[in-house]
Amino acid sequence: MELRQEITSGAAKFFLKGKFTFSDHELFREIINLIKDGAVSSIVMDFEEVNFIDSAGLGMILIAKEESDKKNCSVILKGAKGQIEKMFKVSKFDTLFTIK
Amino acid sequence: MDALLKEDESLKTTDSGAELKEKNAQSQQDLQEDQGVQSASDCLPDRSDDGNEAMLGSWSGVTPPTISMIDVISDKLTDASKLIEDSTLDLSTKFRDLASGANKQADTVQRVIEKASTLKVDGEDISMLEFSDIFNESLVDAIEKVLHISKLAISMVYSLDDAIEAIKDIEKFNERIQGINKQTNLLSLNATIEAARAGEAGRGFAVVSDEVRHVSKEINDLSMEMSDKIGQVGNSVRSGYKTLQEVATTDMSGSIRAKDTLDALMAALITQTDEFKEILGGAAQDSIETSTIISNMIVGMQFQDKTTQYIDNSVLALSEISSALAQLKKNTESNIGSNNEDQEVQKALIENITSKLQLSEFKQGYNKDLVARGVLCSSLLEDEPEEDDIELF
Repeated sequence: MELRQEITSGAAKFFLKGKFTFSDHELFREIINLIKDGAVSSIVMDFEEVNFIDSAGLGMILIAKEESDKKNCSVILKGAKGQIEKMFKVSKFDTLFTIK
Repeated sequence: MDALLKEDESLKTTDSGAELKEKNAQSQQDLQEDQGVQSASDCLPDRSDDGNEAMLGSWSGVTPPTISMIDVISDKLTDASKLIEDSTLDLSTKFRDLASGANKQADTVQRVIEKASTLKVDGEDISMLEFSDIFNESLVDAIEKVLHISKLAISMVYSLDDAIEAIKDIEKFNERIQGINKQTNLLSLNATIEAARAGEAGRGFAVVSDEVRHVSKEINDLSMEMSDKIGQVGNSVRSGYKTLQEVATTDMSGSIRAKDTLDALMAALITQTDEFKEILGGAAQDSIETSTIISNMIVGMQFQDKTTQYIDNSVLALSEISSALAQLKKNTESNIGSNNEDQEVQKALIENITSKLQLSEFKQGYNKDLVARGVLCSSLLEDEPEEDDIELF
């Protein structure tokens, strides 16, 4: 997948595009590192242009949650539709994240 | 009663029947002669005291069969009352059975519906809805486990990444060691050359220099081995990546399909449950309506009570009339004297009344009772032609 970020004063927005799978783990590390560094207090992940996600992708989002909980950083999942939306529902992500 | 009066006219005296008939005919003739003018005295019987006494006497002669007939009728009425009472009781019982039958049906419908929506699993009763919930939970559970494993696998990947970073640093150190080693080797070479220049004095120095070159070679060998090992670690990590990729990657599309199927199942179950509730409601309503109708029927049969009382009261009255007549006869007889009870008159009286009866079953029972009371001779019992075909009983 492709990853684009916008960071403004402690709030980070990440725009994901394409298929979100295992091979994107290095790319996703950027987000994890940002959280770990404590550089941001809120993160929005935009899935508007993501058309596929597997368990690896979902696992990565869960790691992001784990790290952000340690740093009191909020995580919002935005714009999920179609298969992505169904996946979030089936995985009960609405109980873990703010879904918009 | 008119017939009775007619007959009484001819019983003014104690004449024989033939003579009486003659007298009756005579007065009839007189009547016919005076067509236009009929004085009352010509038509009415002789109103002399003797005549009155005789009339009373003959009246009292007719009293016994009259009393008997009243008593027989009384009995018949009592039979009728009993018949109504028994029949009503029987009907009531049957209605109650009907009501209970209707209730049982409603219960059966309820039980069928309950059975239709539950399954017995491991000795426990589970409703369809519970089943669906259990399925759903299992699905969510399975998904959570898969995601958990994926998450752990990715974590491991990141740990391996860190390991790779550290190994890269180690590799760098190794290179530096090799670099330093190269220098050391060069220095020792220089030292050996200087030692040779110093001649005899530099011999000890040359030895040391050789040793240094040895050590340097050893370090170099070690360094090479380290490089190898580092390379191996790198390979292991890279193959670890591949394994982890497999562990972390599960296509969840199947789970989505399963969830969709479950949701459809749930919706269908709810619809079915609603439909069942409607049916049940209808059956319950029917049951209530039936019960109400039956209750009304049972109330309606309370007519029986009143009817029986009417009959019982009528019987009482008849009994009193019977007694009064008997008393009257006694008084009449003691004052006037008993009359020769004219069988023919009595027979005529009885026949006249009996001829009015329409139900042959009633008529026969009535006549039998009169014979039993000694009012009729059995010879007077006429064999009625069977007319039962006409009557509906």
